Amino acid sequence: MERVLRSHLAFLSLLFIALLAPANLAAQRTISGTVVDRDTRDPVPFVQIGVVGTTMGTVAEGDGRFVLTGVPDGTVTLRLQGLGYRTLDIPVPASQDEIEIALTTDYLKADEIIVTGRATSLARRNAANSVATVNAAEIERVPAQSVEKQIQGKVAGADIQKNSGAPGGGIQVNLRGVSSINAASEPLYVVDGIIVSNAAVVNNQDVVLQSSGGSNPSVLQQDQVNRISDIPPEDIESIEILKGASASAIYGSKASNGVVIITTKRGRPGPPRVDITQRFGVFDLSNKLEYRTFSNNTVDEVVEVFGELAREPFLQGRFFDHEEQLAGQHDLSSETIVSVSGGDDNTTYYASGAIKNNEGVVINTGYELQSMRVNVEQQLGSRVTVGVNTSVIHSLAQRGLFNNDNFLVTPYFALPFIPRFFDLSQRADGSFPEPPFGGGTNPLQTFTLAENEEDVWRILGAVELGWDIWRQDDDALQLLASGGVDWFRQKNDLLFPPELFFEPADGQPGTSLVSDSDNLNLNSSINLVYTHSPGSYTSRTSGGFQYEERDLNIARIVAQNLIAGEPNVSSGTNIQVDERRELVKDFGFYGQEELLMLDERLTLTGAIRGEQSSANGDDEEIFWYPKASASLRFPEVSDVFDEIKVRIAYGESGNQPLFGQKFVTLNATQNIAGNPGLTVNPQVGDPNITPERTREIEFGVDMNLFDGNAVLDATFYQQNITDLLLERQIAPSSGFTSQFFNGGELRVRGFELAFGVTPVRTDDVLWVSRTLFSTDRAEITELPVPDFVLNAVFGAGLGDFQIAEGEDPTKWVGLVDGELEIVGDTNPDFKMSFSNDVSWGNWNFYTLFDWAPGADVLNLTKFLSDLGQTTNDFEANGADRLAATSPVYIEDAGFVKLRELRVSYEVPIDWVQTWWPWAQRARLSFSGRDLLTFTDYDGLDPEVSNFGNQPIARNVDTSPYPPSRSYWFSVDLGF
Amino acid sequence: MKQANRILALLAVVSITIAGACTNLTAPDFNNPGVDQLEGAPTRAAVAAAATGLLIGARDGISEFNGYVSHTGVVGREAYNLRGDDARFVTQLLTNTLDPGARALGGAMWTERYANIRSSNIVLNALDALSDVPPDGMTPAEKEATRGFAKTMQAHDLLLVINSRDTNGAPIDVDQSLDAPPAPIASKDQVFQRIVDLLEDARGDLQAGGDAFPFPLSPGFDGFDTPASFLQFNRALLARVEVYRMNFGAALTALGESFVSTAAPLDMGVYHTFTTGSGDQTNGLVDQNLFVHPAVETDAELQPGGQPDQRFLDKTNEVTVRRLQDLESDLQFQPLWSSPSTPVPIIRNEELILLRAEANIGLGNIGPAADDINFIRVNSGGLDARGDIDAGNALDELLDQKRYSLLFEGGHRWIDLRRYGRLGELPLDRAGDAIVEAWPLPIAETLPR
Repeated sequence: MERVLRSHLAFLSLLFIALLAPANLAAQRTISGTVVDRDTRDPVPFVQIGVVGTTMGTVAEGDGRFVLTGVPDGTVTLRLQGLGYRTLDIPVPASQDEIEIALTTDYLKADEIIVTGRATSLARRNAANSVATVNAAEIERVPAQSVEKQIQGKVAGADIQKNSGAPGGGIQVNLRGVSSINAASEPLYVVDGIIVSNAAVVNNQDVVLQSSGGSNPSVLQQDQVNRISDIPPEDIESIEILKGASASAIYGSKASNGVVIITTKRGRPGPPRVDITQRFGVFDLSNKLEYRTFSNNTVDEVVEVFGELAREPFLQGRFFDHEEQLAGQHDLSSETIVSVSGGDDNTTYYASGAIKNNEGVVINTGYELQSMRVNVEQQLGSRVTVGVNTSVIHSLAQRGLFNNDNFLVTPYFALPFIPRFFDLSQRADGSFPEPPFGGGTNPLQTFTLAENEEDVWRILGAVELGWDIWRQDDDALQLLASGGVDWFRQKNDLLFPPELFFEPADGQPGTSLVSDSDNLNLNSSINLVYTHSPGSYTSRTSGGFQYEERDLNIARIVAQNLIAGEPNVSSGTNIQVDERRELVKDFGFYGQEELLMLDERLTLTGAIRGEQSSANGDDEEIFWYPKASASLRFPEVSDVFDEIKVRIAYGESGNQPLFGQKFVTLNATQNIAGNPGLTVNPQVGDPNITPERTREIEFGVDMNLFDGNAVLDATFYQQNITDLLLERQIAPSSGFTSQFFNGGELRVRGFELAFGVTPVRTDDVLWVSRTLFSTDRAEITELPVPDFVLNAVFGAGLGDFQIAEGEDPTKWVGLVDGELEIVGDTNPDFKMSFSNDVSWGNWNFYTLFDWAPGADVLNLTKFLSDLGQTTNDFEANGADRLAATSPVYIEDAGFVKLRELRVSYEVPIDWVQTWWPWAQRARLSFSGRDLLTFTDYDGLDPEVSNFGNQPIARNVDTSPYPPSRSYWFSVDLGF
Repeated sequence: MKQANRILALLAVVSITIAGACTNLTAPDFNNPGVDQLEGAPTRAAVAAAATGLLIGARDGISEFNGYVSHTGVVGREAYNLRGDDARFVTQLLTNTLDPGARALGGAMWTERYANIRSSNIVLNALDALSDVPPDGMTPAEKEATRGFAKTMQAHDLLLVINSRDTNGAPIDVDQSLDAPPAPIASKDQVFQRIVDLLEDARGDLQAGGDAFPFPLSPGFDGFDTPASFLQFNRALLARVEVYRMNFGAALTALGESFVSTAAPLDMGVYHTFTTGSGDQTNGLVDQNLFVHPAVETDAELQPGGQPDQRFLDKTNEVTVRRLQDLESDLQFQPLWSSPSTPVPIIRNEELILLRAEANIGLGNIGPAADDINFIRVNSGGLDARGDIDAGNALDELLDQKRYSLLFEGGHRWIDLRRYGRLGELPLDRAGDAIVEAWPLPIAETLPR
């Protein structure tokens, strides 16, 4: 990689020597002035002020003052763009040299700057795509452990659901519907310009629970965390979401699931600003299954269910709430976040530190995080800017033992077979009662004695270089280069001491597991941007190339039959070691042209990207991803419509084959009594495999209404995904079970609506309300192989998915009286969210509701309690369910959730200053997350996925970590 | 000047775009070797490893809780698989409602066998391409030995396939390209004929195979790990197949060339090896959910001292009662499958003695048959010898002895009763229970046809 970069840099330097042209001579007049907030009349710093039709511009100082020199004679138009303010064009007559300009707060985010290329950005009002953003203010309202939670309900077209209630992440993000069947379903995450890993590495609990030993061999049944959850939400300035190929084409073959661009906070020139946030909170179990109590049954009926050994405990007449005993913890959680930022004209900095300790509702579970970030930006002379962004993150997640299991160990596998009149609690001597029922496991013992820790260290570092190579009145040439490293090490330590009731089951009491996984992402890119703006139009031509490398190495040790129960893996008498390494190298290059014409009312964009990757069958083949878009604004249409924009965009992007889908291998990891042997690998790769290709067309209308008091964005899109990465089932008599290949076509159509309004905007009261709506439908329009069942769950008897021409792959199918029929849907009918933020004097009230009707969940947790005859409605319905000849455990799981709620109070600053004179800001707030859930679903939580992040096989409820709500009290102080 | 700069700037942007395409992106598979390495340009070491790999493949799907021993034992009412987490092991298996789409149930006992059959074909093909000159190649004798080994292992895998599928048949001409349509389903007789052909071919190969195999066998083949002694194992398999085909004369001939002996230990034979070493496999029959069918206890004959059949005592133990879906048992097989490294028999002397008795019964030689049966009764069961064995009761007695001698070690009870049309003698525990006669072909096998 270095070699490549060096050669390109040398080539470029030669080129630029020729370009360093003499400075320009055409300076005419000077305009100076002040920028203020329209409502408060306070000065607004750091606003960008540009002269329309030129590349001339400056930035307002900390006191809102600015000076523009070299402004042409005659009337000019100044364009002011400030973060969080509406963009303003204001004409300045030839005679005026001093001006005060008032900006309006952009409550509805109509005028943000959004990223549209690898090195270029555009004002939202010119964009041809529907691009969603979530900014720091929206993130800070209610704390969340993982950044995806902070987007939930805030982006139209994003279906975000957590896979379980476990502390510390494990959340899937699905942008614009299903986009693949066997390849990755997650968007690409970019933090400060570098592509970061979102790998989900399993903890290996499967060795003990044998979840992959049953009807579904998937190893992804271990409640794994996708690693984007490491990024602390508090460090984020903004999150921008490119939802589909038409916006994300410039990210090539990793972008068909969308791109999430995260920018961390930066310092601003000015005196040091210190912010401290201290939170205290508590997590509270929000739902229980309430197993059958048998209080209406006779002792003989109870013996009929549980056997003779149930007689005596039943006659004692005591009942226990095992769920509450296990998951009723209310330990105090805390979070402390400190940041310092500031700088001068040449140097700005932002530094932060966070310490979090979140206690889970289940005993011995929780999530801790410590992080540090330093972002520094340095001007070198007038032409060069260097930025360095670094952060170090450490987290420790204890997620307990949940999800599928073949040993009746995880709580909702064990509890259905243990009657509620049997006492599981720890005895005075420290021992636990061994239930003579079911698998004989005691979840209270399991969770008290077993350890399952995921310890992650992560380092993110990025260097950005900006160089104004050449600037003349109408022309500017800029070089933007960046390099970045994202490294993490995930260490999983699991210990199952020999005393555990399930441990002797395999004849090898005691298991200790150590997994050490590390992943290194290397990124580098060089871009050139040439801007030419002669007045009548602005043309921005950019080009560049990127190199990326991802190297994941997982090494695991499993030790069983521990000598004297020693946790060290070397004390096992049965020690298994395995290693897996995945290395992918990508190279891409692109060219892009953006044209702003007709007084910036018409924006045209065209781009093409070429990409090679070692994940493809042929690592030299170049795949091309073009894009083109146009938007046209109609300002001041009428009294009602401030502005209407129509836009259309087309783009193509790809979804890379997963590592290994190109290889046809023999298995070289086994031996028999120490003699090495090669065996065939049942999955066959395709040496010619290519990325999936998504072609997306999107068109929409954006409206600004009622003098900036309302915005409405409506978008229709259609995606055609071809060359799907399919897994062909081969008749197993061939010796193989499946083969990857490209083929088929999937079509997704959808509609998104975002409506923002400020119903009340007075001096005292500001009410900002946003409503988001989205819906999408998918259909397999072409399939080169016979229809097939995906075999992604536990057999079509319970419910599975079918890939069939003309059908929606996200639909549940199941055997109804022996025939395969559609019996449900994992895709909600639509998603809708409502957020309301009301400020009244010093008080602020905020709520976010999330509504997703019509999706169905396969409730295997209920199947388990039916098997144990302990479902709370078992007497009425259980036998019918067990005898049913259709997939009765697929249940409607539509829901409305109160995602976020906050009440905050800005403490009057003079009051604070009487005893703490340095204070600048002080706020008290009470907030809560996932406080209310309204659903008909009988399981724990309609948001659930036994198989983790999946394009299709989501919504499977198999003994998940139970859901919780969180309450927080926060103090924010600034000085 | 300005215009020239503009053009240069544009040129710079264009050239940076094009400058990219020249990077070496090779990233190999660090985890496993490619198949083409073995089939295209085989080496002695790779072929030897693939040959040893046939022993790894052969034990795959044997000892798992949803493997061959467990499933065939459950349908033959030797065992229960009382899994609270998955009741299908007490519904589908015991009510004859196997779902051919469920890989752990109706689709079981298929994929692993054919994977190993593919492996043996890869070995056979690689041998043809391999040089005759060591150290990179193998001598003609070494190749013959390896061929004989691979064909015998393939015959064993096919035998297990047809044991589970019986009259449903199974494909045999499977050494073909992945792009070819699936191989046709052969009848049970055709499959048996293929097994016999393979074993007979292998016999010739092994006889020309010199003194030693050019690859290590597992400890489960101790005593049968040279071409000559391995041939005894080959003959033992042939004897079982010929008994299954009711070719009792051929069976006796094969037994004569096998290792059957009343002078040798009853457990002498060939085994699947399991160890706790890294990369090795452990015996999954050590499973807390596997219970003894209660009929095994109630049907056990008493020894002269009044205690039950010694084989019952030696193979089962009493545990806390487990109940599931109206089934109940307080016995497990912990003494039989005592540790993760307990080997699982492929074929052993005790079975061969009983096969000899069975062949003699089939040929009407009741005297020699009674001698073998009584040998087993006395030496394995601790029972008195029976003096009243005649043509009328010899088969009943033989099947009883096979039941206890080969208890829960490979579905013998189920296969034997099926061969004689006696599956109706198996006990039914609940209303609605029924006996599985043969496994269906898996959906994955029938769908592409």
